[in-house]
Amino acid sequence: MNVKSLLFGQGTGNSLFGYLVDGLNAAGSLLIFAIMALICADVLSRNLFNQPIDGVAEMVAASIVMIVFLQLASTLRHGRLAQADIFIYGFTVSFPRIGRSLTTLYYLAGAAMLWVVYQGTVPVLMRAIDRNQFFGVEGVFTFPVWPIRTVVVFCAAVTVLQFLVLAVREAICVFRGTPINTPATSKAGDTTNTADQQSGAPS
Amino acid sequence: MTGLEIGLVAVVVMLVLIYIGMHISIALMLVSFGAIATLRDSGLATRMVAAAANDSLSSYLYGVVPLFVLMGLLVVVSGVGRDTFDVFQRMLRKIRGGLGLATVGANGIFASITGISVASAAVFTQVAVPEMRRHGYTPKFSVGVVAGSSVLGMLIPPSLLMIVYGVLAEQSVGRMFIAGIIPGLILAVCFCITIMVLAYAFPAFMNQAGHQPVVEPGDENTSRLALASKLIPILILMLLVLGGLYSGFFTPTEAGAVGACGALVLALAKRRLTWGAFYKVLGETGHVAVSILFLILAASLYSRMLALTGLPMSVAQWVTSLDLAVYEFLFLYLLVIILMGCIIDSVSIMLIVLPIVLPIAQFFGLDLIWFGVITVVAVEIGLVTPPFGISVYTVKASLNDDTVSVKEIFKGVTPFFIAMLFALFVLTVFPALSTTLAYMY
Repeated sequence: MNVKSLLFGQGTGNSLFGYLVDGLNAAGSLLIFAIMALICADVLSRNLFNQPIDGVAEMVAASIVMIVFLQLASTLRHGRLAQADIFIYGFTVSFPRIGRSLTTLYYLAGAAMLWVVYQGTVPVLMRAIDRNQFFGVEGVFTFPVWPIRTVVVFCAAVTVLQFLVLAVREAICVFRGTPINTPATSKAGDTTNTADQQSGAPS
Repeated sequence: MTGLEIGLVAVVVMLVLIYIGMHISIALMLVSFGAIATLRDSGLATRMVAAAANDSLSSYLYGVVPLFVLMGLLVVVSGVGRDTFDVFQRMLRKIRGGLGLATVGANGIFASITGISVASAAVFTQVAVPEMRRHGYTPKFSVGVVAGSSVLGMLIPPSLLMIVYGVLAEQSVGRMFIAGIIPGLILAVCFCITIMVLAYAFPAFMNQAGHQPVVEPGDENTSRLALASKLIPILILMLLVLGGLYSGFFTPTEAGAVGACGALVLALAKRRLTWGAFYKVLGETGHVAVSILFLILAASLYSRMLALTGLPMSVAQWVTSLDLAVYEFLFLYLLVIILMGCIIDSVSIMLIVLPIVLPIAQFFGLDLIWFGVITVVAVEIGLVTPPFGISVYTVKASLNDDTVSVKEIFKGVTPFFIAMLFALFVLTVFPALSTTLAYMY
């Protein structure tokens, strides 16, 4: 692997769902760029014109939550969610079926947890809409809360689906007994991604 | 079951799940959810998960994570890693083991503008290893130097681990950064001494037998000025970020944004970055940052769960009832961290261990800045210990050379592992090394 593929990973998925996940990821990327630009603009304007931009801290804080959820499904899809593969890797090579069954269970656990996030956030979203909640300081800078909660709810749902897609793929491998040509998991911190290698499969 | 028992079971189950390969953040959420549901009810557990997801990351400070990752990746793309190595290589070529020293030096400088060890390891594997092998260094020494010195990235500010620690221990991230400077330099010096010892006492470890010295044509023609000018962009970036932080001109988040912007300008000026590549760098930044931030999110749920069970306080009381001396406690703590480093990655270790250990450290009246520095060093040692050592696998992955096995790399790192243990010892015994600069800030 060269630096380029280490940095950039490999190609992206090609299914419709893949495009959705990549699209959300792109939105998150733009948001990262936006907060960089925003903070730099604030630093410049504060020091050159003695005119700070209102609400930068609040907007950055809100953006971080959105960035995480916008890019979570993609991070998972590209096999970049941190995990220790010391055991599962060798185990899957020796016992492909049991190893892949375990991996299927891990993905299902992930789906369950993100489902809890989804379920727990829906009432929070409803409350935010009902009570017209906003963040910031009234009169200086305010922004409604519901768009952020909507991003969390929607992206949590997408991530649940992504976990399920991965679980189904693993389960298919268990039943077909596909020989190991792609390891079940990739190293945390390493960027070889299994999700991409399997992206030919329908999702 | 009492809360305490539930807490204990949760921690054990979590460690097992992580070991057998469940995503670390999911394992943290799963056991926390389970423990809270058992302790109270699943409605509360759901609400706490939602609260962690929506509120735990909603802080200006966390902006620092994607911004410093972005800066680090842009710096990698801009190719300044190679420039730095070139400069050091020219300066130190004549000395025995000089290329090893050059790698450490360049890594140290490079570390001051990037916060991720993995980035350093990837860059210098490509830049320094071929050069060292061409000059007759053994493969295991070449890769060992790179993997060992790449951990400087996590100690010399900006550093992702310092950010995570600062957040967990509620210490100023800027102060943590400053605290890492002297320990980073000490570690770099330890590495240099190790290389000199290897060069003179164990030449077989370092030098390939029967290698003819390579004659460099036209070496002396490049003026020193031209050479030094290669360092200027890096020094400007360093000055911007560290100077801004130290003078209090920037908050850490602002330093990250300004640094990322500077790195972007640098990469564009060096024509190393197309807009397409920039977009990919942004996506990659997202993946690295999200994997860390999501861990933090899950860990905040985990520490709330622990607080509910009362486990941290009980452990603290239990440890104090043992009448341990401070150094006994520190020894056990550092040992546990290094051992955990054999299995899981550095950020996860800190997120899992610190909620339990920080109350103990506070009980002993330990300085939390210093405690953070030695924690980071111990966690970093995990980056190079078999079997999981991330730095080693990164080196292996970016080396793309099947003749050098992972085992060979671990062998090559061993001297540097010892140097790190020594540095950890020194830093533990002399807290002033970490705290003096930090409290001047």
